[in-house]
Amino acid sequence: QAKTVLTYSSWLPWTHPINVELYIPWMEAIEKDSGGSIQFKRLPKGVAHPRAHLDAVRTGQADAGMSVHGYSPKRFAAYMFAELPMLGDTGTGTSIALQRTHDKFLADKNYYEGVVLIGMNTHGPGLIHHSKKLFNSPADFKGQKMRTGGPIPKKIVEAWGGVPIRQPAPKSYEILSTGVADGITFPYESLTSFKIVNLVPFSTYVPGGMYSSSHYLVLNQGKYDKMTAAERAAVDKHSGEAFALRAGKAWDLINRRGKEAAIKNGNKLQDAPAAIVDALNELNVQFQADYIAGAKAAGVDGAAILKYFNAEVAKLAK
Amino acid sequence: MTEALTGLVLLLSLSFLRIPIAFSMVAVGFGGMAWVLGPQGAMANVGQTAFDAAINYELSVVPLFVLMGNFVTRARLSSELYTASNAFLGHRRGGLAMATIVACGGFSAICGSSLATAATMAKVAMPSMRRFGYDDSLAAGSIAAGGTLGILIPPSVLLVIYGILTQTSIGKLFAAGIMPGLVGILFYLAAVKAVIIIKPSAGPAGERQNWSQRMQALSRVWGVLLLFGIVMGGIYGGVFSPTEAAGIGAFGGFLFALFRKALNWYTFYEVLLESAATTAMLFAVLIGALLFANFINVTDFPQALLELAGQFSDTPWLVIAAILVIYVALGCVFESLSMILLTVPIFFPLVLELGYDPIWFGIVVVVITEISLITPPVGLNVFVLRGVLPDVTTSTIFRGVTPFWIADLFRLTLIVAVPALSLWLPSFVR
Amino acid sequence: MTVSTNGQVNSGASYWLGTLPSQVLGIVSCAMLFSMMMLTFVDVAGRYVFAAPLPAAYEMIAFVMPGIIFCALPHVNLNESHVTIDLLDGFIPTSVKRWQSVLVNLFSAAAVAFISWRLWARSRDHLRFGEVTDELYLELWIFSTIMSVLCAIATIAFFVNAYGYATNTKRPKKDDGVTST
Ligand code: NA
Ligand code: NA
Repeated sequence: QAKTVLTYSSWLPWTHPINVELYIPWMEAIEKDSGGSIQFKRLPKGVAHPRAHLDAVRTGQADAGMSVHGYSPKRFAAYMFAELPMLGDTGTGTSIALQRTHDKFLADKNYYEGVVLIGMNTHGPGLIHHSKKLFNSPADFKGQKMRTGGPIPKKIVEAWGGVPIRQPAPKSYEILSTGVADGITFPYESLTSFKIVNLVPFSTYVPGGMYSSSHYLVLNQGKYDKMTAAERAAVDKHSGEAFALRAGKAWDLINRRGKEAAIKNGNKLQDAPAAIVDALNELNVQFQADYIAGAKAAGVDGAAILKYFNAEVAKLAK
Repeated sequence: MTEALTGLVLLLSLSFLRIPIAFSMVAVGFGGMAWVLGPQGAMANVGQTAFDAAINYELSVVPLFVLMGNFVTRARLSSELYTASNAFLGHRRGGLAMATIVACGGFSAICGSSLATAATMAKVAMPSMRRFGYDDSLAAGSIAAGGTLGILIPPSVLLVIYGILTQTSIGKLFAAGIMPGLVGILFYLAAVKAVIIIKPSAGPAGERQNWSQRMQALSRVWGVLLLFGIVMGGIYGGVFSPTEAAGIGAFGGFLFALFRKALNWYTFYEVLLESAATTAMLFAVLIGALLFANFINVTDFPQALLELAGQFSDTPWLVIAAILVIYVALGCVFESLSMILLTVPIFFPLVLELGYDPIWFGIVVVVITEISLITPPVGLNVFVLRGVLPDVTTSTIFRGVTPFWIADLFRLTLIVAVPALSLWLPSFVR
Repeated sequence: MTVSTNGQVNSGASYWLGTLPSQVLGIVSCAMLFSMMMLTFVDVAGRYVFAAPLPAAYEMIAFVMPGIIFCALPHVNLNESHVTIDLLDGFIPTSVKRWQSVLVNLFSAAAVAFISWRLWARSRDHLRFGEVTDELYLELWIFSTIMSVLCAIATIAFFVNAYGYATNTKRPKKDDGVTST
């Protein structure tokens, strides 16, 4: 019988692959390792707006939940490097490197006041999907209506003469099927979860990713403090780098499934030619400078963070 | 289970004491959350919910579709519709009531709201039905019932909200509403016919018009067709998203009102204020309903319901039948938006689990909420008519809508039994 | 104190605290609603005609929404045009109805005041944690503060009503046009 019942609030549907492959198994692992002393109660719907989930957990509207650093770009300015192009080819590598970067540079910054940080991860590399063509040069973007999420893909599309479309992600099917958008930027996973494999049969992958996004998982502080030492040990066992590894693997798995679904559907997949990679490298100089400036305003050394993160990714890739 | 049921009883009690439904829901939603979550979480949730419900790009369709309806009302597109349908049907017994139904259906194609449709058509159709000696009950009943078509025939604010709540394609939902809407018109025409058979004096025949008069009247409804074509064509042709369509439609309505010289500075202000006030009122209900739903979300009620339904997995139609009965019962007291906001989060997962189509369920839900608009004791369309026609009593109007209400039950049965009726058209939407 | 035909008070404290703010904010709400319509139109037109949508139209529309809603709220409250179940009205004697109206308006005032307070608390959190919008980096606390203040003004409208009923300068009205979907 459970001593501690934890409510988990998810703003993604419970059937979403990342809930199935990451967050539910994480809950089950803790339930098992606590000997059944901790039980999670999965709330039917999210208690708050995705952006507000950190606050929802802090104030006890739910005991656990995840959100996206990019939804609080000022508060989490120090983490915005995790949205930059060409971070790395796997979710596992970039997630562990992100967690280590947090541990080394940011753990003492009190960014997660009032909550217990379980861990963080990236969603792996994001890429370009299009309804009619593969992209071989920045000029191919000219006039293309591209649905983007987050600032980096939007800036890239704008810089190369495309028309960024800002619509909620769940509207992807609708805007692609009707032609409001010609293409979309997403990790491979989203092709299947938003059922758009058929609509965007051309995927262009920039090695290392055209962009990425980072997520974090938190637990209510009061609930954690009231746990027994054994219960806390069960939670801690699956936190930090252990969580990053679990999350990274889960994203790699569901991204691979998305890619396989695209291949099975007969979609055309390619790695971006040098013209695009070079142009993106050029843009990335400014993106990195912007990040370092934002980090400086937040009182952290962005250049050192970037250097460390990239070194960790390289080390993990070996 | 206890918490949820206590909450529901409290909500009804407060509402019957005449406290606005929005604020009853705020009070019970907060109180219930404080009970289950503790006060800190509940208090935080109120601020967060109010903030995030108001700051919402997708919900911008609500004020914009309401605005579109109010502009086209000023542009007098409604009277042209009525003149045209009258030219074809007016000479029959009950013909003016039939013309009202058809004109309501036409107006629904450019107006996203049922109440606006009823209010508009009342101003146009009621005087002529009175002139020809129609029973007030038949006249007002046909307007109140015809008005309900406004939320089924696209564009529709409620279908958009259902689509947002359940992440269902709004384009497909709009396409799905068309045939059930046409069936609704046919059934309502049959209801008028039935009334006339029972009591021929209720709807005397009007003047017969010759074909050249008819064609002339028909040629004047081009404005309605154009606007409908722009909004729906824009959505299905991929020119803009359904969310953007509301803004384009409102702009189109504005141009119509402008070029028909229906706007001076004062009427312009009135249209905007009326639309803004409706929006504020709807969002008060929305915030209340979200708080109430958030309370239900943290109770065991949804889980208990799912488990209960699980026992009927061999006979899913029983669950659907139970849901329909609950809806019709709720429809007695709640108005359309509160009903959808309160029930869809609870029933939708259930219906999906049983293997039913989300688009079909959306149409079923909207048809049921249409019925609620004319179900006593709280039928908002009836109240709207009371406002526009102060000398007709509420009981007269409710008596008048009874045949239409019965027709609605037949239509509901048909739509539930024949999903293809809703799902055939959307199958052509990419 | 003068009372116009529609039962609106035209002078005194009720005018300054109720009628005037609701009218002024009503005009602001109208202006924002019209701008939102134009924003959508220009955004779509810009996308096709110039292959350049209005920058951040998405965000601007989202953030105009609370302005439309909360600026129109005092008007709605003052006119008591919220969705209400007035089923028992026929059975309630007029003398009781007056005090019922007082209580209903006080209850509604409490509900809106509570929301106002919670939005204020939200705005303090927005400020403390530096929450911003994701495109234009607008500070969220500005919006939550404005929403809280507008809610407070809307609360006063209910108090004005309650005062009107209590002093018999406002009479319970018959149901007039309710507007909804
Ligand atoms: Na409609
Ligand atoms: Na009803």
